[in-house]
Amino acid sequence: MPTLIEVALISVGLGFFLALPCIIDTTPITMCLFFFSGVPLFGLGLLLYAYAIFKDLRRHGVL
Amino acid sequence: MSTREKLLLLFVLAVAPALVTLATFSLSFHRAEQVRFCADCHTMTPWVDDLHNPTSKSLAAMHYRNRWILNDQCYTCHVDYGFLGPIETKLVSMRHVAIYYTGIGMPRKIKLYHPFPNVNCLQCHGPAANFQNDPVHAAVMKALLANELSCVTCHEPIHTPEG
Repeated sequence: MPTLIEVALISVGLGFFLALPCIIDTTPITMCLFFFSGVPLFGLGLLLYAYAIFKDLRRHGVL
Repeated sequence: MSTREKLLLLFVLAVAPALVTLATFSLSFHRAEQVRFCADCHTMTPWVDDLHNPTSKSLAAMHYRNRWILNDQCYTCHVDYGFLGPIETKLVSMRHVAIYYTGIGMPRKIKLYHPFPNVNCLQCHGPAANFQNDPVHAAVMKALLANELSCVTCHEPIHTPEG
């Protein structure tokens, strides 16, 4: 079972993968891929990361 | 997990994606202003072909052929020059790209959402002496500025796409 951080890393990695074609050559396809898939994947990664931090802080009794 | 690893995670999961997103937004929005980008959608092929046609008498083709507009010819005429015009145009363009690939809401015939605003012509032609001193323009200047008379009423054809 992958941890939250691992899923976040995979999500952000996929986001980078989708950003690359758009950076190399912007076409409607690469732009759509990045804007409609890459950015949400970055967002998902960030949310999971934030949630992992929140869980960690709760485990340590900070929150 | 060491502090160094935590900082690395922060960079990889938060800072780097934010930087990449900003860079890609900036780069791709700039590139999306180019004629080449508009030509990528097959729907636009007849319009872009007309632009490149050396015998076309359309206003768009003459602006392109004679380099009256140096770069980004589609964008220069089709962006509205209001405060939010460029942003609005790009959002609408993104919607067009989504419609193109999903097919949802695809119009049967391509047409402008609103009548072509004169300000898009006047942003270049307005301050030009040959435009201002032309008695024909001077006679209808008020109507042109108020958008009551369209530039394209007299200056046709704008595009002559075939196919």
